[in-house]
Amino acid sequence: MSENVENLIAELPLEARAGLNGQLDGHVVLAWAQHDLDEHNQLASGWVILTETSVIVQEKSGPRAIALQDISEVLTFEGLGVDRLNIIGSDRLLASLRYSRRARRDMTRLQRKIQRRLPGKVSEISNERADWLDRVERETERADTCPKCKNLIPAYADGVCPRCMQKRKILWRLLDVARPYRPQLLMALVMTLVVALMAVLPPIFYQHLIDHALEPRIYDAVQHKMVDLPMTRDQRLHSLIVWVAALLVTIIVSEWIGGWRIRILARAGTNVTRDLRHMVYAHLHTLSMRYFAKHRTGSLITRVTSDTDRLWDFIAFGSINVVRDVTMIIFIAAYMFYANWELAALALLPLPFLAVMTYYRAMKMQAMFGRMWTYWSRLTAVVGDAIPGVKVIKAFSNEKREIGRFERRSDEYTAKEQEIHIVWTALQPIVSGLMQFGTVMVWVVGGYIIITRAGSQVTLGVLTAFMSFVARFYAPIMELANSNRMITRAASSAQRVFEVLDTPPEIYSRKGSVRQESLQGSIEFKQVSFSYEGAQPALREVSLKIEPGEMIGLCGPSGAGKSTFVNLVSRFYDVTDGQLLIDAVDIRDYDVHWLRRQTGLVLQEPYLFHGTVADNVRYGNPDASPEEVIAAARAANAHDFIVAFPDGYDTLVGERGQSLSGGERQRISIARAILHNPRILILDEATSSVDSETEQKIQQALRNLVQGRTTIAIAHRLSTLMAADRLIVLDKGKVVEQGTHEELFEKEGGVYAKLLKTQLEMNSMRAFA
Amino acid sequence: MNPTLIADDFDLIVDARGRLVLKRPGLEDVTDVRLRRAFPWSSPGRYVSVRSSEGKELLLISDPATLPPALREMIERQLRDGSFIPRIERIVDVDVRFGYQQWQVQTDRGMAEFRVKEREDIRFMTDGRYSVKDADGNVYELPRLDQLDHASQRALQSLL
Repeated sequence: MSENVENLIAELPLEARAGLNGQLDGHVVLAWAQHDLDEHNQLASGWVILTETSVIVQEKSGPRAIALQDISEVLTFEGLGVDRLNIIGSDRLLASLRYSRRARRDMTRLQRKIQRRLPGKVSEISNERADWLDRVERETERADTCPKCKNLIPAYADGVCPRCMQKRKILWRLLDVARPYRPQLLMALVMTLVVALMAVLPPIFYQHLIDHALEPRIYDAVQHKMVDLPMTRDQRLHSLIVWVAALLVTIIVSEWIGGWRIRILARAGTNVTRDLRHMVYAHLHTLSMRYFAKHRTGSLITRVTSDTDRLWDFIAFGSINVVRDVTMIIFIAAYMFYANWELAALALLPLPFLAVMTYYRAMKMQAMFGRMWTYWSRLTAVVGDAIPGVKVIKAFSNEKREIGRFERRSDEYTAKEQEIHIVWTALQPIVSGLMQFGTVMVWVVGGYIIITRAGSQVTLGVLTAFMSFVARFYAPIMELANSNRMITRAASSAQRVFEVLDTPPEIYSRKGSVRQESLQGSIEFKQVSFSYEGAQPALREVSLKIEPGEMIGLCGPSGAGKSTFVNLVSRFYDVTDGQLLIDAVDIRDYDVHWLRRQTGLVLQEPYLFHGTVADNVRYGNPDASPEEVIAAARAANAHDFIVAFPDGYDTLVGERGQSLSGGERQRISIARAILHNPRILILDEATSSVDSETEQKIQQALRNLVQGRTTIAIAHRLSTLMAADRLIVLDKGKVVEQGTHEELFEKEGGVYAKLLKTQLEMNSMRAFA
Repeated sequence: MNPTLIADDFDLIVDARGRLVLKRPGLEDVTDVRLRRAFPWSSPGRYVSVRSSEGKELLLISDPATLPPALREMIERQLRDGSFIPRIERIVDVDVRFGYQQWQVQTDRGMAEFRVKEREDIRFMTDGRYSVKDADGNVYELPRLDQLDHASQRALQSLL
């Protein structure tokens, strides 16, 4: 063992050091892990620490040291949510530590490290490289971890952990998206204020119309009462014309400004929604495969399309209308109090009730809208599920059941919808009723004053103006109550949109990521383990090296980890543990997009996009010339059948397009890969058998494709297996055999030999059937 | 690049029985060959595939314009004879009825009246043109909208 190993004692958490009573003194700490369950599977905390001479196990009963020379083996066992690390001596179990998923990664790493230091153990990889691997692990952890929440910080976040950032109010964030349109919005806001101010004018003009033209009376300060104003008929007519003209001008100007305001807002709103839609869709494409595996397509489509669209209403009208309504309420209330505070107080009596009620309703409705959306996405999920499976539905004659399923969900949604309508429709008459109650109060009190108190300042003009004010005052309140529904709806839409935007991409290019001139195409797995969320590990400590240009056939029973293997090479997922190197550089250090351009993928079920055949062939290289497309299609053995279509390369394929056979689709996707010209090729061979002529054509195409590239093929066909330079046999996430077809086929009792023999028997049975 | 992409020395003639014969120096004549456009919509003037009656490609003419005029004309005639895709020049009327549309158009091959079953039969080609498939399976080419007169554009307004 090398003596210059790093002593990590300073990094050991205090909590672990505390209970050790100085047992670590004078020792070199190499590694540690926390185990979190006791022998009854109750949550507990303990530590396992590896020093240069011993393993120190800290349990509830206290710490104890187990000398390395007493240990013969260290093993991990995986159970249902609980794993065990067993330290085994020459004849008995020395310790058995239990831990949950949370501790799994650290414990497996520790197990590997202990195992390596056991006397007389020959390690799979040399100590030097293993130490290097340890160092890489520690460095990556340190570099990208948020000190607060211990989660990885994505590179795009520029060192600010998005999860720890204080969540801002959703609607404010929405206005943040509108930042580029601030001049327009500001303009609209000013116009809104002008319109609101102008709304106060007409009632004032009414008052003057009545008090100066129709029934000219004036308050006589000497006599303390209203007196008739001595005015001639012409004077009164003149007055009439003046005030009517003023009224007319106000109406024209305010409607003109109002019209422009709406136009500006509608436009800005459309732009903001467009930006948001683009943001969401672009962000969606940065998200990892894991995200798409978890979310329903229907729900994502809704978020990108209707949720962003629904926000238009809010941005265009909702936000500014609220400002307008509030300012109008303030202006009008202020003027009313100025004109006559008693009448004003009476008219506004119902206001507090309204405010309280609307607030509580809004809270209730927000929750209801959220629930309604859940039901809506469940409803769309049924359709999204049924349409692609329509063949199966028809074959089982299950239409009735599917319709029933849809209708049940649809009924549920309608029920939720109606609940909401009950809430807001109940609010409507109450608001309207209270408002009219205010009007009645003004009539009663105002009328009483006019009739009985001749000395009052309340004239018929003032009363008319007041009635008009009350109507104008309650209109924005009604609006507010209504826009409440729109705003809560928008808020719940915004929440879902931001949910997507706030999901950090798991796969991303690190800062200073590598792009190279070219790629050799060597691939190396170093102690790679991987597990999908909460599942058993799909790959366990796989170590192997693939040379540039080598063709690897991956085989093994289903569930052996073949797809996981290629998913890691394509970097659809990042390794859970260990390291994956391409040209001796960690795959995570490459620029994702650059690396993917060097990687080609031919899927088992080739996906063709809606578009022409030519578009699909040049999917990876949109600028390819027709000559290049033809050349690629020729190499893929696809040219002949493509030209035989009436529309040739311009034939539409994909959804609603020309229907193609499996072999044809396969060959088009091979042509796509050939044109893409990747250094590393991943081939997921179709299990379904095709007729031998097509098979031959596909094999020919594949031979052209794999030429000079590092190829990893998930192989099922014998011809592919035989063509591979080397076969890697996986079983339960581990590499169990390696070698050429001949070597492995001859191997007595080998996994590959057994697999292949069964397959061959099946084929011969099929041939005779 | 594949050598057959470049049209090398060859000739096409029509024999006494009206069949097209491919003649190449040093190779046997192939009788009854067919011509097909590889990109009939995106580059109709180029990439003509000469195929045997079994559908195997013998030759691909990358650009007929480089050929001797007589041969070029002959290829163009053959292609024209072998295809019926009228180009719509003017739309007289499009009547949208229950479930289908009745089109009345003027094409480069004469007046035509046909029925289109569903909206999906009108396909948008990437360069702005449309292909319209009628209920019988005939295909019509509809040029870009801005190349039509106003009345035709108005007639299509609700459809495209």
